[in-house]
Amino acid sequence: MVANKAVRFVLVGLLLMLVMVGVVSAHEHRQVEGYELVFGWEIEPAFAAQMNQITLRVNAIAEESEATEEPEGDHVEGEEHHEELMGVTGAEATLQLEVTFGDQTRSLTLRPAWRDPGYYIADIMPTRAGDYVFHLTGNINGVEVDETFDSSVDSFSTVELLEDVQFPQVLPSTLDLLARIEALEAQIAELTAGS
Amino acid sequence: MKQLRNAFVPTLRYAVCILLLGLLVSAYSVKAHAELVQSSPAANAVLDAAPAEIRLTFTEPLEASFSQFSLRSTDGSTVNTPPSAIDPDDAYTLVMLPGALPNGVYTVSWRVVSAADGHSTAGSFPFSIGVAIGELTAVSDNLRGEIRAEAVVVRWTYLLYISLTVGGLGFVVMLWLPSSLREQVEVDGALHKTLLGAWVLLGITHVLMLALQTAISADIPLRDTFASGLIERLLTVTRFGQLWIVQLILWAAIGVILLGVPRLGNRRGFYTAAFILGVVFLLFHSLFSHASAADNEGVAVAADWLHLSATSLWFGGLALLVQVIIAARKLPNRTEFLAQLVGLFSNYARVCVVALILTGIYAAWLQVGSIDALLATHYGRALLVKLIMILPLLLIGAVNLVVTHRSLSDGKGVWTGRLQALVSTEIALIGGLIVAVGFMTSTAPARTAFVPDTPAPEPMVETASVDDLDLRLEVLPGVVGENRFSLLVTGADGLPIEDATLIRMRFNHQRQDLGESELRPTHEGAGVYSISGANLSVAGDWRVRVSVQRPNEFDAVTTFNLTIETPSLPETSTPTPNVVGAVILLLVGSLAVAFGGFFIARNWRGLLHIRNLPALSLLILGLVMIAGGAMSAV
Repeated sequence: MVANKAVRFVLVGLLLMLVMVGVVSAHEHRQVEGYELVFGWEIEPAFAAQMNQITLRVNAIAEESEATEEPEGDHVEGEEHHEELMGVTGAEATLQLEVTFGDQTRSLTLRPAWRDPGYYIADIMPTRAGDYVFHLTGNINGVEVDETFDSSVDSFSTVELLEDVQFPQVLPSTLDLLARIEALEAQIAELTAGS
Repeated sequence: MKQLRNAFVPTLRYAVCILLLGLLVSAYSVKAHAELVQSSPAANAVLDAAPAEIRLTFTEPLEASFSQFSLRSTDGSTVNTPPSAIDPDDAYTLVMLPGALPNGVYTVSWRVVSAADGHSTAGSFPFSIGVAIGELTAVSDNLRGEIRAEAVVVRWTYLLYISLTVGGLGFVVMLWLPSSLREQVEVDGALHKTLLGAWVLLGITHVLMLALQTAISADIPLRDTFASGLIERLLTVTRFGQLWIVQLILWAAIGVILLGVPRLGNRRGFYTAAFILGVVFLLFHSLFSHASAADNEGVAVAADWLHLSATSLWFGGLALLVQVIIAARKLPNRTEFLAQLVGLFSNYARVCVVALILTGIYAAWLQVGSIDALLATHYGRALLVKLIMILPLLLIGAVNLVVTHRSLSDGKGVWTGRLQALVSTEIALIGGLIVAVGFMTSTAPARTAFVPDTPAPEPMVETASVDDLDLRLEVLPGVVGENRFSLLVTGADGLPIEDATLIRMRFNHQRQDLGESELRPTHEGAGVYSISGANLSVAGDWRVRVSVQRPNEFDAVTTFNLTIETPSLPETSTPTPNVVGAVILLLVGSLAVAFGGFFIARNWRGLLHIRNLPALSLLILGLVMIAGGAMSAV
């Protein structure tokens, strides 16, 4: 009985570890004056032409100090520091997010996740593979924020080609189809003009 | 005393023959130069976890005390591990149990000393744990071409005094003492002093050889060897040390006899004993030579022994001959005396020259193997110098045999001076020739050292078009290990793209989970972006995802699929084909039998006379070569 409990405990622990690793392994962590920002894709690796989300977790870092006193001996009195993270709510109103790819830039709308204080998401479907640059500006409770996240530099995923996960047949991308349509249209226009 | 001599001398004669045959049967079984042939982990391997052990296997047995490897981290510092050691079950293999190693890239740096011929080799290769290998140097050998000048000098003087001691004794035993000419000129004392002087100098150079081998084994300067405390270790635990001690005992025994000869009645018997000890001394020299590392070591060592013996008899004989010539110039019948002396020496030298040429041909094939190796290696070039110096020696020998001998027989007194000059020139030429031999014994044989020129490898080329770009990826050499990646980026108009701000090459193995590694090539000009790296670290299918970033343009992303194979091992030595080897052995063996038989037949009456020893040795070697050739052919 005790053994079964122990096995369950270990299994649950392992599962939790896996889940936690999955969540944080490819996200960018930054600290901005008492706040921690965790930035990344909701689905990693991110694939082109697949619906995804940018996720931003904003935590306030509350530092607690506990005075400790050694009961005997030559030990020096010291302090133990504990960091407690608390999700910051309401940042969707004060933070702005922009995404840049090539020469194009557009704003993304951050919205708070349901029943997860401090967790924000912005919908985006990256249509091309490559490295995306995100620019987060504004403030958090008056603390200025001006951070750039670049997938070619930082630890969140580059957007990959969809062909990596397509099975059993690799489909042409919408962009490929668009290019072919344009080519056909040009041919039709040429033929029409000729007749 | 006469009875004792009659019983002793024939016994010694047969002892030499039996020793020769015994050697051929029991010669050390050792292989080629110590080169790394296998390792675990393999070069450029990417491991998930630290290996339980690291094994390096070489082509020949290793000297345990002077062979080791260590691990180095990427910053070049030595990783703290237990020392490597020879596998107790395999003298060709070094093993290390590295213990816990953190993830990272490591370089195995090895340096070993061959137990066969004492030469050292070194090299290194990378492997990684938990991470892909970045830019690292490939496996390298760096001691192949290295020659110590001090080694050449020490070996030259050593060979010089070996030749003078043993060859001088041979001259006295085989030519001078049996000759009636000895009664006409008082030169025995001078010859004896020369032999003693050569013996003393041989002892000094023998000690220097010990110091030299210590310096080579421990990779320290020669001057530091005596203070290093390593000599004792070399003497007690290495094969060289064991052979050296036996040679020292032989040298001491020769000295005891030489020092005792003036007080002993039976000079010829004791000189004969000293000579035989000297010949055995040469045998132990051959047991620690390039020949001892040959595939057919029995025949190779025997041939090397006879080659060295013949050189010694020729050189040492000439050195003592010139002393006799100087002494004889005072004689009233000097032309007649010298005519007889030249006749005797020519007969003696003829056998030596034939033995030298035949064993030299065999050794040249064994250690060089090809014209390219002859021309391209230190060993081969030294052999060329040696061959060039032999030509005037043969010419002088022929002049002495034909012209000088006849002129002296005709009573032409002017030829006494010419004879002395010719013999002195021969001595100088052989002294120079031994420098070339010292050089050859200080470097790796040409067959081992020669790396044939191979045509430049063709790069692996893949092309792709994405958006408005054409990409051409070249991977050189396109095999596992270090590669050069060059990406040519051109626009739709065919013009090179020079303004890419970032190019990423991300490597993923398609079958094994090795993790992703990345290279970022730099702009080389003309639209080419290049970088080197060992990212293709194992064989198989690789996906290389290339993205090109340009200002104000969308990223262009495409995939190159590469199939990477393990590189074929560089051919560091020309293999010894059995058929060619058999033909060479049969041919040279037949010639040795023919010449040996011919020289013996000329002195048929004194078949068992020690004067016939060189010819008899040549005959026996020829028979062994024929047997070896026949066995190789089968």
